[in-house]
Amino acid sequence: MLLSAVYIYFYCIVNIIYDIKLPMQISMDCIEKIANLAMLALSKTELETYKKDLENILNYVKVLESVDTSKVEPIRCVIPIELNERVDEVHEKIGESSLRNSAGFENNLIKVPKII
Amino acid sequence: MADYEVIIGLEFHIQLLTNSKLFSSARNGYENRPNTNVDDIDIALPGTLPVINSKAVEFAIKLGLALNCKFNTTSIFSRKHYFYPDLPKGYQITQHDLPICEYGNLNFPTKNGIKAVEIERIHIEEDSGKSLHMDDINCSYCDYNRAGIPLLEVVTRPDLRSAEEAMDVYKALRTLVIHLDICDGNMQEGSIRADANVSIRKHDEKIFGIRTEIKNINSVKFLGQAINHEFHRQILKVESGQRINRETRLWDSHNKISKPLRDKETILDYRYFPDPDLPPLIISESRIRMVHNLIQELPIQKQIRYQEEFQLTANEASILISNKVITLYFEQTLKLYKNAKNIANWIINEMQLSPMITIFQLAQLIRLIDDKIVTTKIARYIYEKLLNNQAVMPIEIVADEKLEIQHDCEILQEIIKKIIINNPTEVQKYKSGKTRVFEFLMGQVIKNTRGVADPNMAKTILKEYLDQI
Repeated sequence: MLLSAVYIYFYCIVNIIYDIKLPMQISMDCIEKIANLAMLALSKTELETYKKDLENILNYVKVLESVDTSKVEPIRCVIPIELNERVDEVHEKIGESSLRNSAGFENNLIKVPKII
Repeated sequence: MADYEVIIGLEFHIQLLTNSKLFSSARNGYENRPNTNVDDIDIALPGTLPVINSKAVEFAIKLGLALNCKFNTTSIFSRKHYFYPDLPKGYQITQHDLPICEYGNLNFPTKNGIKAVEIERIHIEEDSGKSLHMDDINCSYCDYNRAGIPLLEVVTRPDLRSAEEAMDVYKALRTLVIHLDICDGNMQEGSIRADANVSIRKHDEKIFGIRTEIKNINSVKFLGQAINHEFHRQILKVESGQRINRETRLWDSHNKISKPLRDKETILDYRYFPDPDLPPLIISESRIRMVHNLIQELPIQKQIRYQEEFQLTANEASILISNKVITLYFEQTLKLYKNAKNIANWIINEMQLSPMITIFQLAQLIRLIDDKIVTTKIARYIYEKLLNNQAVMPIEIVADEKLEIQHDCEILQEIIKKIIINNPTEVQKYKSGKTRVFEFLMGQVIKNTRGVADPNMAKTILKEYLDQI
């Protein structure tokens, strides 16, 4: 569980930053953009902290990049297993849906702020 | 306007006819009471793990084969992130860099013969929930029954050059998925939705202009209207020296205009990454072969066969094929009686595509017309009697009610003589050159013979008598 979380974190961050084509120094705008995409309201000090953390991560990736991988097949999955498939059967859930716990639940619908 | 051409690429979302969802065992049925078909996996509660539905994979292979695609033996599921109330997980599981199928083509009938459009990719993904907008001005409501329903997304190359072509592709793909039994093809319900990428260029230009995307169209007619509207909107912009924004637009079918939805440049950052819960999907050659054996004659092959073998028009063939029940009904009737042209005509024009009599009744009815035992008019009368009465055959109604065409010349002559005597004014009119009265007199003949008179014989006799006077 923890391993996959770390994996996601790395992959995600590296992808974003490379997409934006940034050097190892990350701008404040970039950090803010990442925070916005993740719907995180971060204070100025928090943004500064994460900026440093991310720069460290990227510099570490830079080290990894120095390894020659031109003759290595890309690893698609860190655990060497095949995708499990399931027979197309319906299993009705017993008991109430977890959705009942959502903030607004009216007539079996989830109430959300106005869209469009 | 004549200086410009329109460039169109299409994307389709096809809802699959599985029992359960793509990654959970919740029922695939979003028409049920809201939020009743929702599993914890569909909302990605911590601790849940998605497991792929094998039927959905099979359907993807089926469509890939029907569209002559190349299969990626290893394909990857990725998470596409965005925050929107109809997406309970905060991401959609889809296929990004390695889809299950690539590089195919779809042959589609048009009024100028069969054309082909290249398919860029087919990938498996899950549908989002549905947002409902009621009178409340502050709130919207979400129903997650649809969240997690398996979809196949089909993306074409920007090969299309007119709204008509795009509409033909939409129709052909719908027909195809219905015949493959992978989708119900119900457009009103959104079972097969289209997005159109539209740009324009001058005829002598090589590169395409900036494209806009019109999203979520669920009717062939609206697709045509939306593309034509967008074509003209873009020409007006370019002609007046403005820049076209790369944006997503929504088609308002009521007011027949499109509205911008969101600016792609600022929001297009989905932070895709491979879903760590789902290892790669491996498709073996033997599995592809197995699915291949399940595929029957494709609609485009039927289209060609109907036109060549049965001399049906392209339109007749398309109509019969567009509904699988009708296709089956037509082919089964044809096994009983080999007059494809007349059977097609009856199914399309007389029965208005609702097969409410059995194939045995229809085959016999058409045989009775062809053998000149009853007139077409009488056949329609018999048809009405047969509706929802499977126990009786046409020939029995003919015998019971004496509906056979009257070939007895003498009886007919007697009847016609009487009609001429009883209608002196009309006969006079006819003699003075008003030949249209002939139809009225023929009507009298039909009436007096209950419609069973041989129409050609009656016509000849009536004309003969009138000319003698």
